[in-house]
Amino acid sequence: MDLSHEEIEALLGVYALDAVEGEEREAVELHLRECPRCRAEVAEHREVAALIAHGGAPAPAGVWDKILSSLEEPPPQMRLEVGPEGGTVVPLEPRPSRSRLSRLQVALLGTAAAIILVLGVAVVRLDQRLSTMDHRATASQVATAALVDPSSRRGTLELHDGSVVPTAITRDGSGFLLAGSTPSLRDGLVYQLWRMDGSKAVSLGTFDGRSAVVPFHVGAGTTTLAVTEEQAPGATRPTAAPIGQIRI
Amino acid sequence: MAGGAETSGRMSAIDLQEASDAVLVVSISRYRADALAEAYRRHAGAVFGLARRLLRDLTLAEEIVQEVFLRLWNDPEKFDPDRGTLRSYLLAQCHGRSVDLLRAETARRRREQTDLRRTAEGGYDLEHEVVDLSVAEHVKAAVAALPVGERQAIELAYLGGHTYREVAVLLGEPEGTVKSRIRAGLRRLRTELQSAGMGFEA
Repeated sequence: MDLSHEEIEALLGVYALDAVEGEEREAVELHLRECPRCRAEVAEHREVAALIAHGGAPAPAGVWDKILSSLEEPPPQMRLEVGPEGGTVVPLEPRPSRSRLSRLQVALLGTAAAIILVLGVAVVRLDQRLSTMDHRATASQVATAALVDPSSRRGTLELHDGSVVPTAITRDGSGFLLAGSTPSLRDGLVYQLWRMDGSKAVSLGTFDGRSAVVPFHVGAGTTTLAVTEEQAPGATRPTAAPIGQIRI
Repeated sequence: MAGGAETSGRMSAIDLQEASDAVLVVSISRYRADALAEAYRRHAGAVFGLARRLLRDLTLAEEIVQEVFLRLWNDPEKFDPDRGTLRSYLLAQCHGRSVDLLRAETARRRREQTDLRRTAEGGYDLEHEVVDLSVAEHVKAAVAALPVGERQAIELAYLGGHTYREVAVLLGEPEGTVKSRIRAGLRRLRTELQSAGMGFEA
């Protein structure tokens, strides 16, 4: 539908209240994409509408629990930090922000072929996950981008059962395990990732073998990582021999 | 980048309570469920109230609340703080979804009958919809100061969920009149509220 600027302007008030339908609405939306002045007017009308909306209802009980249980991303995993006085449990480093993800995704498009060369089968499996799991997919893409970034340090974690976990640490110390193929654990056990400082092991966090990507953070000097199986929620120092080691 | 992530990662629950809405959304984009919880605490009541007002159905209204906040979690970058407040963004999402549901053809005809009766009885007024006490008086006064035609048209469109064409039929006015009354009424409200000292963040 072809509408003049004047005709569009006349619709901005009713558009802001969702009172325009069909072709007219499409015409307004098309126009808004290109016209900052009209966008600003709609935003103003919506601010006013927000004020006259019913503001007094208490948030409905029970809905928050439903929301929380349907968040796709698992809650942050725990990291154990070892201090002189013993271990304290703190959340893992936050995941990379999504704005950064999208830039990396773009960068990734051109390097798909290279990824497959580097990662082989693991990437095919990842790609299958990408289509079904949006969020984790995005985290996977960042991890994959980190793996193909020439400035990243890379390594492979081989577990005693023969499964292989590609690992990358970017220049700024963000690390990723592509842990989608790790075997699932008995109840009450978690995998725990350690940074080896000489003979001392410093915990980098725990994971459960269900997430495709395990993010972590290490300093620049780290060359060896190890994985152990521990009682949930994790241990302050390894209690068993590593089930796998990675040299970066 | 790393520094910013570090800061938000260490932000405690108390900090979140004092954070601006824009900061909350940044934390939400970093998968901070506690930031989403704080946004919910601040705005879910208003979202629920509007959905319930439009849909007149508690279960549907709760579903809308759930949907609106899950959408904020899944697409936090759709909220642009330069374009308005988080509350107006969430309410606009809520309104859009509620109205989509309302406009299911079967529900429509029955509702038009009810709304027409309510309008005629005068039992359907914006003046009683605002409860937040700090702003309620100003908003009430501004709404009351609107010309009746503008007020009715805004009520039927915004709180009744009607299209402007339906509003025209309901009020027996030309469509062009309804369009311009709604636009003029919203502008008048804004001016009134601003002169009453209420700032708009956007």
